[in-house]
Amino acid sequence: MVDALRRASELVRPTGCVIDLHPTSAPALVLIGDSISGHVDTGGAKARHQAATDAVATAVRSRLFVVADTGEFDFSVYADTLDELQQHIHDDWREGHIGDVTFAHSLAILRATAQRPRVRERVVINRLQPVSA
Amino acid sequence: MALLEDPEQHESRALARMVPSFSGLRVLEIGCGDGRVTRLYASQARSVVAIDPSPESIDALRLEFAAVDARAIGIEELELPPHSIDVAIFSWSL
Repeated sequence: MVDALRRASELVRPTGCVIDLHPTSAPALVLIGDSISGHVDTGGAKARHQAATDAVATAVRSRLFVVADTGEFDFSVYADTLDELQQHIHDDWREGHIGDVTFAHSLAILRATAQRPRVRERVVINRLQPVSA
Repeated sequence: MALLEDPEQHESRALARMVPSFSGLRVLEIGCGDGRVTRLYASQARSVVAIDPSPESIDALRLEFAAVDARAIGIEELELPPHSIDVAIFSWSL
C-alpha cells in the first residue's frame, strides 16, 4: 500500500494531489430505515481498512505527502429486499455477509415498516499534497 | 427497483470538497472498478487514465466512458511520465 502511494507521488505534479478514499475500520452496519439491525460480518476487511489508514500515516511520516485535508462520510447502498442486499455484498465485497442473527433481526424490523434495507459504511477521504524535495 | 448507491451523494460532496473543480485536470484513478467514482468527475477532466486489475471492470468502464484511457493493470505495471498527473485518486483501493 505504501508502495502504491510512493508510485503515485512520482506521477503527480508537485502542485497536484492524491485523493485517498477508503472505508474506516468501523463496522459496516445493516439498517432498516434508520434502525440499526446489526453489522456485516466482514472477515478480514477491518484489518485491510486499518492497513490503508496505516499506509497513509506511513507515507506522511516518510515525507512523501502532507495531509492537506481530511474528512469522513457515510456511504449507503439500498436494496429492495434483504436477499438483494445479501447478494450485493456477496458479489461486490471481497468478503462479507449478513449473518443469521442480523438477517433475522432485519426481517423482523422489515415486517413492521415499509423502509428499504441498506448497508452503511463509514468512509475516510484524504487530500495528500506531495512534499517538495 | 435496482440497488441504489449513495443516493445522499455524500461521496460526491466529499470529493467536491477536496477537488472543487476537475476542469482542465489530468486525472489518474487507481482501482476504478466499473466507474462509480469516475462518473463523478470524468466529464470535467482534461484527461483520465483509469486502472483496475479486473478486465471485466475495465470492459464495463470502457462501454460507458469512451474517452477514458482504461487499462486492466495494477499501479505497479502503469507506465506514465513522471509528474504528468494533476490528481491521482485511490478509489477504495489502498
